[in-house]
Amino acid sequence: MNSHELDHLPTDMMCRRTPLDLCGRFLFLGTTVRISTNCASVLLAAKEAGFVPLRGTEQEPEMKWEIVGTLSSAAPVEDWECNETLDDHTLYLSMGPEQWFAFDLETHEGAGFVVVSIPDRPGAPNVGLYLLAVAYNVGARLQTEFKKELLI
Amino acid sequence: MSSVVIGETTLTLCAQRLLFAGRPILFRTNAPKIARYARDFFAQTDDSNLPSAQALATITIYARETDEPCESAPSFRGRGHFAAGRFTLADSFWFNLRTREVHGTCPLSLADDRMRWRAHIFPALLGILSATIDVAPVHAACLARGKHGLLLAGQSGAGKSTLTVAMAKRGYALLSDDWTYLSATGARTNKEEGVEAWGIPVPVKLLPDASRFFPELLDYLPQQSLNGEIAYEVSPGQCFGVSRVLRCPVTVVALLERRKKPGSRIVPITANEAIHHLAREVEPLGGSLARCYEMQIDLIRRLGNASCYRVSFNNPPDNVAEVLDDTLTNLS
Repeated sequence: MNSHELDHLPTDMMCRRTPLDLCGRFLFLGTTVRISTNCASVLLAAKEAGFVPLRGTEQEPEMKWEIVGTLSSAAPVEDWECNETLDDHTLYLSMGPEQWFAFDLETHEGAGFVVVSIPDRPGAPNVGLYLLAVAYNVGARLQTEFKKELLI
Repeated sequence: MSSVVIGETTLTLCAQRLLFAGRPILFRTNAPKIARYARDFFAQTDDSNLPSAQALATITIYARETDEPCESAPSFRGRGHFAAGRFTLADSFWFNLRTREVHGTCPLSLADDRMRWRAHIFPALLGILSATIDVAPVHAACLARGKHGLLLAGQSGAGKSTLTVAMAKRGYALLSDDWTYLSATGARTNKEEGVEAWGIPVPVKLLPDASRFFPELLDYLPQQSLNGEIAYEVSPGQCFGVSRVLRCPVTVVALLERRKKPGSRIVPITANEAIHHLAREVEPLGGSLARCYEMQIDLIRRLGNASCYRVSFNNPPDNVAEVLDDTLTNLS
């Protein structure tokens, strides 16, 4: 990954439009998820966090997630705690001052930001921990939802 | 009073329906002080005039006891229909723009900081939320007098705030010195016609050198603003004794620009040129929010009937205000 790939446009104050050129399709708790990102380490970390890669499928994924890697010249802090905030429609995960992931409980869309060190290395510990936290917390929430549906 | 379950905690919340740019918002918090700040900051609804009791957006803020430091550390990020914002190391504000919900947590100590809520937190929350409730924030100051509403647009540093204060001192009512919110005039009655400008009661922000023109500022201290700039942030009523107005029609748009030669020059321009200038500063939104962005651009296009001017100047704000005032007087 080149540093310019993480640069955002000057007017993009909230980094909304960072291009996400990489994409992986996975099976996660029996559901297909497409993860779009600008960092190869995110896709590698997803595999290690229990997302099973899917190949050769053109099927529309059931969940679409976008994870933006934000450039940091300093080594990312890895001793953050994952704090969960839940309201009627959304699960929000805060993972330190610059990292978060939000998951819409109705549309199952998700988006977030993770700090990536330069250069972007496969197996970067912070990215791995981030994906593990996302997988654990979103997985737990999905399982609660599935149970609710079964009871109905 | 109402209650909401957040995680495993059931909170008792004070709920109130308020207005932002003519759009109803349900505001809920467990902190009486924050509820009071919101009541003072937002316009009040007259429920009898609203076609539906349903609020367009919900802001829920939970103040909690914590030892975390309340050090200023603003940060805002967004992706898809989500966004997250922070003003200090101890607060967090989450946005689901699809459901038009804002969910914030902050330390109780932040609930004591009225100025931060008025000057930074409420404006930032509304700025992020505005697209989803059909409100277009435009980077322009706004003043009103008689039947005229004047938008003063220009990039940062163009002189919007100093000219706004100078115009307000000439008897114009001040609506905004930096960001003005456009919404459809018929939004509350479902008979959408034109567009009107709305303000919020934020302080006027002036850079330190503005004290050359406004000695009243010398009684205040410049401080760090949300974007890191050192600036005076003052109440225009208290500091300059000028009046404020909450909303007005937009009949005149002036694009401000600095020029090298001393003096000031005002030339008519087409409404399309003014619209193009305002529209290009609106943040494009894609995906599920693309419709919101289109609505914002449509609101700006409704300024097509306004008289539009380019104001180039390199002289003190009082002098520019005098020339601009003459031009507007001749319009009447």
